[in-house]
Amino acid sequence: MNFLGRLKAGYGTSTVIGGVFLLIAFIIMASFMILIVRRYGELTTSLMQTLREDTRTSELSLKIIYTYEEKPSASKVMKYEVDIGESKEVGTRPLDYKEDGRYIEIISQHTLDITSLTSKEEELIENGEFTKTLEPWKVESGKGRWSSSPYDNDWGALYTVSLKGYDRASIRQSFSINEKFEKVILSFKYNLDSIGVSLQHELSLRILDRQGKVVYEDSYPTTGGKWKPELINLTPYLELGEYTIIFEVYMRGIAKFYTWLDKVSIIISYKEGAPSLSAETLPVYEAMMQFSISSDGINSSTRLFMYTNTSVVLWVYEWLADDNLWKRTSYLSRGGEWFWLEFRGRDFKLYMHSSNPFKVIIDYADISIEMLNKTGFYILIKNTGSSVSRLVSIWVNETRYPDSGTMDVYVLPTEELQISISYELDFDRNYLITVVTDEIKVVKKFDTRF
Amino acid sequence: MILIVITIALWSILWLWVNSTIDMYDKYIVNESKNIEESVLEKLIIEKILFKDSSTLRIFITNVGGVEAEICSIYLGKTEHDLHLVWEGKVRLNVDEGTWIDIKYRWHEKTLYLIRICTERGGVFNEFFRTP
Repeated sequence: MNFLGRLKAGYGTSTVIGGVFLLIAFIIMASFMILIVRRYGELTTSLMQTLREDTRTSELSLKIIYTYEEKPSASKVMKYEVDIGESKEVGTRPLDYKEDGRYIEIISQHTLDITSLTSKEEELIENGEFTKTLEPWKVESGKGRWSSSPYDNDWGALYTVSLKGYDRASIRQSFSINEKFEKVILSFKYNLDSIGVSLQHELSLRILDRQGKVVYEDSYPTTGGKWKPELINLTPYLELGEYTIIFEVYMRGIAKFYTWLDKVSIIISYKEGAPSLSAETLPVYEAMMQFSISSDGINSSTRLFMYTNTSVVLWVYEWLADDNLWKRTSYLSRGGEWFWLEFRGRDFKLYMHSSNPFKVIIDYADISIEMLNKTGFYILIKNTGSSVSRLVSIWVNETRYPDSGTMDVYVLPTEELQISISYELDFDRNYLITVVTDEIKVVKKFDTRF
Repeated sequence: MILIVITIALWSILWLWVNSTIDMYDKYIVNESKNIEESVLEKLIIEKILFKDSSTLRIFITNVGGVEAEICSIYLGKTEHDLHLVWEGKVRLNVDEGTWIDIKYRWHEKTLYLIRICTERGGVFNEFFRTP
């Protein structure tokens, strides 16, 4: 091989070596890049997973159970007194058991008669409200028209007219006074309004007797769109007989006139004894009992199994200690049937009345008393969110459970967990329960006041 | 022959450089990833705040995260722009560990406050509370 040939072979070798070198360098660089991309990819995935976990809502609902129920027999905890009526105990401890032939019987007492009072006042005007109709009012229309029209959720008589000149219209009704009276009061309200040039807009009131003689008259100017009430004592002007009340409106100008009239009323008050409407006397039979429950309970409810021989109105009074009030609830028994009547609280009354004599049987008192669990309470925790809740601790006022570290209890979505807390509870105290998770704090208050 | 020697020598130098660089970057990436992961895993919660007197607050802080955390400062104020440094120090909390920290701060009744806990790792944990 000559020199040129050796040189060419040398170049070829060099090129191959250089190529391999570059290839290896490229592979190293590429591996390095891939490594970086993979590392960041793993990191991004991990962060995305954390973020996804964080976007789930965390929600807990709490229920604190700090009482337990006791069902004592009536003879141990309940006392009763009959304030109105007579009572008879059949058997010993009559309210302890149901349908055992032992019961309390209460006989009503005839206390008073109610006489329905007759009215000594009478309205002489019909449809003074002009509700939907003007009947039985008689109208005289000039160039406009009368109508029963609504305003402000009410109805009234309205005379409308568009005028160039003058116009006159009236509305009238007759009434009669047949008995001796003490006083007669007329009342009405009116509203005179116009749009345009109004030279005169006036409402006049006249009361005519049977012969057409004016016994009372007055007139009222425009009110500028405002309602104005009037109250007139007609007593000095009227006697026994027939009368006609006339409202007349007079308008003059170039305008649209609105004349409103409403609440026309003539109240006549009769002297003692006249007129006499039929009076009815209703007898009233009553019975009343007071009950009281003596216990250390926080709350109590009592259901009485009862019977009434006739329909009786039952008023249940429950004492609201916080408000210092009796709360009344009404019931009506059908009569001849057994029923349950429920009372809440430690003190309650039962008042019964009817227009007929009645008999009440109380056979059984089902008493439930909520007792304070002095040794502790239960917390019912429900996960109402969409992420897993990890319970860290529970605080009762300033006491932490556990003392140190975390509870490390997991509650899955929709899962419910009951946790018992040993904490000495006392009467008349407030308790603040805080359930701490790694995401949220849920707080619930309760008190032990009776 | 000379070319081969030169190539191998250059290759060796390049390999040493690339190797050390890759090793350095790998360590950097591993550390960076670890820091980010730890920051994400770091979580402190304020379980309870007790109002002892008008100038003292006791707060119970728990580490509910996945890594230990070191509390370095606590800020308190009525708004985010009105935070005052109320505590500075170093309290290390292992995972699931809690501690009481007393803060001297004159607080007002029935007022909303923002408390901010900062950690050495740069974590910031905020919580609002209303004074009694």
